[in-house]
Amino acid sequence: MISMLMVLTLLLACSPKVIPKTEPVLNEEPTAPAMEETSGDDTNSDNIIKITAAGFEPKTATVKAGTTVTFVNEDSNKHWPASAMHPTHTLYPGSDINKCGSGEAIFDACKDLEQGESFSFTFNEKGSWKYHDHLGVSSTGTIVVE
Amino acid sequence: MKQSKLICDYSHLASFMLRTALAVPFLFVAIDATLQPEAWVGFIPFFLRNLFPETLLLGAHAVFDFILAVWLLSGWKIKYAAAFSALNLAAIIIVNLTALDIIFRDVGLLLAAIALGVLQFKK
Repeated sequence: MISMLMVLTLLLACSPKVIPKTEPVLNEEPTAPAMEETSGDDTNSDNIIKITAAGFEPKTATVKAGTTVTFVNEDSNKHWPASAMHPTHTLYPGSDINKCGSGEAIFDACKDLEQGESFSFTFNEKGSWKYHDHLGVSSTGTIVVE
Repeated sequence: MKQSKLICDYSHLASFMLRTALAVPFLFVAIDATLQPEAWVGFIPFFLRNLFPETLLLGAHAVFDFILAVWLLSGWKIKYAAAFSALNLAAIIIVNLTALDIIFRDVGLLLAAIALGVLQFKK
């Protein structure tokens, strides 16, 4: 019984270390100019991240605060972009998978995106925000908001 | 004589702790994957999901984890239970290697499974 309590304590002790762990990694990554390629287009001022079989493209994107980023599923498989960490999606301020369905704008598609479907979110908080595919956790990316 | 008995007792205690350390997360996964499948389906690679239904894969893995947990707690043929646990965890780590910030706990569990196996072979 005592050993079970020790094991549970160790498991719980690991959890709070997850969020701070992401920040230094993100700050060290070079800024990717990819998002700037779409920013000057008059017909489509939103920045676009493609979701393909290989994951998110580009994996790291740098945008100005207040920019709306659109995730477009170009893969035949369903995808669900959302803020890290899996499965709670609470890394981006205000985001939480439990808020899905509340109508609140959160960094979470809150549903499977079929091929051709998209999800848009406006990034107002400055920082480096990791995200992932809720339906394929090995696909990850980062939005750097300046 | 007394010292060797003490070492033997500690070995049993270490084995019990390792078995429990592995069984608890396996039980948690088995139960939570049944209650919240959407939180776990992301760990199954797409190539498998394109071959078999997601519910079948998740269900099979939940049953496998449950059996492993009970087996580990039973104390029967532990070296085989440790081997299956290590293989299970290694597979999870390999297919989700790019999500290391999520699966880092599995690396510790994998080493615990290997340690459990080593303890059994020592006997």
